[in-house]
Amino acid sequence: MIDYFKLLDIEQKYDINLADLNKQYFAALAKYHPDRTKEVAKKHEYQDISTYLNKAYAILKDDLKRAEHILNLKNIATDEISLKAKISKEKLAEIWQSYEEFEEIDSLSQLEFLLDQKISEQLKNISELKQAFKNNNLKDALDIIISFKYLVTLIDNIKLKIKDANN
Amino acid sequence: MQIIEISEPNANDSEEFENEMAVGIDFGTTNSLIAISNNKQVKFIQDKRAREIIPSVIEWDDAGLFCIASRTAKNKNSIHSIKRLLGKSSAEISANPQLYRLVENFIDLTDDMPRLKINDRQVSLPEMAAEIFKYLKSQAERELNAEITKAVVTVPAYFDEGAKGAVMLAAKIAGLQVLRLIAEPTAAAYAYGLNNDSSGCYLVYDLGGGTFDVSILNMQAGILQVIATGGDNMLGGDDIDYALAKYLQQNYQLQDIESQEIAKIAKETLTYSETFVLASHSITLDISTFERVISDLIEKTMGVVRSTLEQAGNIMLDGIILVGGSSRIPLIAKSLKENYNTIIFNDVDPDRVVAAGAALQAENLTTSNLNSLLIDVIPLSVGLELYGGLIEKIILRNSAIPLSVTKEFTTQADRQTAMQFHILQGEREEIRHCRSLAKFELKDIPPMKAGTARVEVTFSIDADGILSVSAQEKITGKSQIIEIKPSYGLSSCEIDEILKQAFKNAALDHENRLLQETILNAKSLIYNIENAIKEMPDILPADELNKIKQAITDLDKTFACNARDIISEKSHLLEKQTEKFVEARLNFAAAELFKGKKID
Repeated sequence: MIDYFKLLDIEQKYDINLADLNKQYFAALAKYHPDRTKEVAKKHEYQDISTYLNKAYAILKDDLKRAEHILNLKNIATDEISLKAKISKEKLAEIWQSYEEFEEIDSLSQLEFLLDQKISEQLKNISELKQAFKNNNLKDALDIIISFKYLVTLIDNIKLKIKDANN
Repeated sequence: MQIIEISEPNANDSEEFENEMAVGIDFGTTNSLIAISNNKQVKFIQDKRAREIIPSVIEWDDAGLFCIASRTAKNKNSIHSIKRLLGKSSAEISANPQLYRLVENFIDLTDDMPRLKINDRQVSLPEMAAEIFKYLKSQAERELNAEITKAVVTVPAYFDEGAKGAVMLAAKIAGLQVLRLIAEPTAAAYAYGLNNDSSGCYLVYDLGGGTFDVSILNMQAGILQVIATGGDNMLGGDDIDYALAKYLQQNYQLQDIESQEIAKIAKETLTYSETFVLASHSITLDISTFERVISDLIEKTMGVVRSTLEQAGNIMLDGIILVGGSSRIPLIAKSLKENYNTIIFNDVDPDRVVAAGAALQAENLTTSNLNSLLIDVIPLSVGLELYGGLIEKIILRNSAIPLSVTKEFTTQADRQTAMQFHILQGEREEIRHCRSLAKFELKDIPPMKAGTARVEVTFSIDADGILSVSAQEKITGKSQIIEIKPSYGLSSCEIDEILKQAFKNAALDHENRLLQETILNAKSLIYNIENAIKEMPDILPADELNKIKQAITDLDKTFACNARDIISEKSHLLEKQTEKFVEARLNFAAAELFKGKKID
């Protein structure tokens, strides 16, 4: 497993400075983009490196994927099957309930209200994750990731429904 | 992870790379430009008619010889806006009246791949578009006095793999190796030198003749990155002309063609004047009426701007770049300024800015001077077909490239030994709204219980935006890798067929040209001989004269047969037959000369 923090040479922590991440990513790409060389062999090599850099950047700048990556580096799996095994009954009931709520809503204004509500829940997740990682409380972090993941899917679905309602 | 480098033959030949000139080509729906940059000084190539902005109109004569927008009057043997048709299937063209209208007199939609009927031969769309590239290439070679084989070509940000592939194929047929396809808005930002800024976010509003594109660019540490793209490839300045022409028809009882011409002039006049007056037709159009007529279209573009900005997370803009001739309409800058209150960049000619950026990028890619770098994104999501006609997006649009994503799949049935993969591109959830890029099958999966086979599918996109997909069965030690070669959105048979046909047609063209030349030469030979005989009918005996006349008749008969060797043969016979005549004529002329001298 590649440590993307190491790859971009930034400190491994959840609460990263986005400006630092950008700086490191762009500096690395400026060096290793395939366009930066005219030699065939190096182009292949740079293509490989750039591919990893792009992947690292996409993961680290994403508030959810970054959290998952930290857990993965500590040998805690966050794939769907592992998460399903770890989810508590209470959490599952909570998720189901909010899905049912969403399914029943049809009016545009209510959908938009729900979207705002879910986005602020997501923001709350992010600050909770910051706290959990700060205290090195990985069990909490995993629980928050479960909520976060379901929120991402729910928000996508709300946005789609709003789009359909607008058309 | 496996990265597959895909390149045109010789694309990475480093020895060739150094000293060769590379041009920038703006292959436009309405107009095309070609430019070259030397030490960041851009020179636009003029064609032999002293035009820098060359209409993307392909014409042909009865012999099937192509030329680019030579005649001013509308020629019935011509195709406009071929760019709109590139990468489209027969079904797509017949379902879209706007597209169909462009080629209704020439199109053959019986096969899945559309073909044009030019006189008695069949021409594919990329081959037809190649005529524009051939023309641009020949004009640049004439003006620069050097062979041009490399180019950076711009395409709308909205183009899918199929359309991009068709553009690359067209350039290839014309003998140009495409170093890189870059998005038109990106080229524009390049031309403004925004990549030299330390940081900033810019929106590019590109209203061309036939397409509308919005791109959001992020500049950071000397690197230019496209972070979001949006657009509508069925909306452009032509639609504004059309809307205005319709208004003129309704209010001034004008003919269809006349109203379109007047609309164009009115639109241009109203970019710098408050009113447009055409006394001969008693038309008076003020700017507020014009703006009312086109407000729906402009509002449509503003909607695209809004949604693209939303995709980019509604970031603060440091400026908006205007591109495309129609972006000169004052209402556009006004609306953008009102909505976003930022700097509007419009001082580089919006018709030339894209070609300038392409030329600069071409220079950047071919010289060892590495000051700027362009990071591109994949403009449309790529995914796989799932059960029930749905698509799973594997690579989301606007992801930075090069990029590689691996997903794991498994078998659905016990003892299943093969899996079908259908790769699609598009933003919609349903397959019928997405473009099919390729289908392939992974065979020889060892028979196992359903759900136990582990098949890893890897999507890789290289720095040129070209996609390749590989699948690998992982559970047994024996693994199998399948590569999908980039296919320009066409099957490899189709590409072979197009290229073969293009070469055949090129040979045919060459033969045709030679034939026309031979016929012309023979005709002028006959003309000269007949004239000479008329002047001096008496210098040859009658039987010699009859022999010449017979040879002329024989030669004349061969013109209909279109066989160059027969025409040449009969021409030679005629020449031989007239040797005596020429001799006699020379003697006669010499004698006359003496006569003249005597008189003096």
